[in-house]
Amino acid sequence: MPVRFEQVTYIYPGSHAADEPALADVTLEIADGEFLGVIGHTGSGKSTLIQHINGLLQPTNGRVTVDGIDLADRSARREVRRRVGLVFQYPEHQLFADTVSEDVAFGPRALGARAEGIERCVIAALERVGLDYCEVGHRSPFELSGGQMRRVAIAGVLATQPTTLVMDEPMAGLDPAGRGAMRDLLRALHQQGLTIVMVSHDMEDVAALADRVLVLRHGAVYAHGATAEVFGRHAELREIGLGAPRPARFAARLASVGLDVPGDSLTVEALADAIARVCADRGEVR
Amino acid sequence: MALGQYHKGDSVLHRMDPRFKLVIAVVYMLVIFLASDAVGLALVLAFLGIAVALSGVPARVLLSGLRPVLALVAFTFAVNLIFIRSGTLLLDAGPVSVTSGGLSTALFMATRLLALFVATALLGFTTSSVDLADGMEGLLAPLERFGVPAHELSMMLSIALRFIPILMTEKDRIMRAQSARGADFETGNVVTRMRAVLPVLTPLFMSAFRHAEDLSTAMESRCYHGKEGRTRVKVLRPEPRDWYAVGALALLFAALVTLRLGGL
Repeated sequence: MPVRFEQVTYIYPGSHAADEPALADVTLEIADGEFLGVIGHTGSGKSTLIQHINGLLQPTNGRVTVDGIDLADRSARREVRRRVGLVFQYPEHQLFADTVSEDVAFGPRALGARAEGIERCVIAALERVGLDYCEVGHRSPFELSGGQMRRVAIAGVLATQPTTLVMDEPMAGLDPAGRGAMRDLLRALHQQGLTIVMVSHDMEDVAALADRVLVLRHGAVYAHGATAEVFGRHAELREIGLGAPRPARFAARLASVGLDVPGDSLTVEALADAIARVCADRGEVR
Repeated sequence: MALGQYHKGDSVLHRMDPRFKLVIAVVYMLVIFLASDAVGLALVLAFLGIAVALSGVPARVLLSGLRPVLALVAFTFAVNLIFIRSGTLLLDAGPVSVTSGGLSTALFMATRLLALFVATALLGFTTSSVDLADGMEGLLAPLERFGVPAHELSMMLSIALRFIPILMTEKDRIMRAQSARGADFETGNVVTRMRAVLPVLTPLFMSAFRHAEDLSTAMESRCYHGKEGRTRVKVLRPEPRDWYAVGALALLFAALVTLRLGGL
């Protein structure tokens, strides 16, 4: 179910022609089962980009297709919204219903699922985010903890059984434990076969989860490729003020003092293994 | 009212004492109704025209601020045009006919209404919400003796004005989030549309409460405790230009009264 951007340019209505477009000539493809991390500064077009994936925004020029369906087609947009789940930043702020199960059921009901199917969807969706239907289903979403509320909101999107999940800063405002749990959740969802697009400010999160990375700058694609490859370009990333994940930077510094650690160590674990290997080769560690 | 759409500028109108501006705007709106003939209306419009010219607000901006009320003006014009029958018949198209009396009344009414809206918009465009709240507080201050909480009222006004754009952005965000979940705000009959509002309204209220809580914490942590002992950066003091404006309005008033009496 690939998502395809073909020379997409987007200019916010009301902005002047002289202003920079929010997206400038973006062409890219997101393959099925991919985990794409999107990074870039505030205002680089990340949020604008992801809102194109399910037709909330229409390109000023160019076109966006999902599984070959052109999003310019109004009648097809509904179907695409079912296939592409979009989780906004602080999704818990969109909760509204009296009970958790009511809220999670909102999506499938709005998209016209049948009553008996809905409950099954709700149970399954809550389970996928690690919440128990019997335990929280009847409670008010507003009495839950922040992390749980976010899970409920994500379940509300998963309930429509999308094949692609787009998330804007899913870790924002979470404590370290919540962060770790969210990483595990995203990894699990990806392993279940979901295509995931994640916007993040945190290079470590992107390095730990994504298999491909897209760097946006002033609305244009600055870099797009495999995670190790993109983060391997430290100098360029530093130049535009983004910086690579800490382990990658550490590896680069080791390399500069003559310790030949491969530059594709993006997580602490991978770096530790790489250092151990190098040391073993030198015979310093038995 | 077209408030909260301040157009930044440094004109005479922008610099006027907001207390004077508020009073003059309100009195002017009443004075408009003194005009009973074309000459009176021309004087009213001339006063407004000078104010617009002095404000330096571009016509384009002013017009865009008036767009929401133009329909009302057009409606007033149409109703008067069709239902008032006096004078000579100008156009007869079966059930609808236009008379000269109808045409002149329609023009008169529509112009008067437009003047009313332009005056309001001009006040909004040339007065920042801070100035507006200060002006209101200054005008209400004498009533504090009778227990009117002038400072609190003006603080409420300025906070309310400040939060309009924030809540608008929030509403957009929530609507987008819910439509990403399949909510449909565009189709359906009245009942389904009303129900579609609920998933937006509840989170919007939650967010308003959240903002209110954050704001009160922020204010308290900066030792805000109401009016007592509070001094101002900008002390309101009438300048000659404020009295000139009052004089101009008095002249307009006198001219219109003379016209009316003379007309008798």
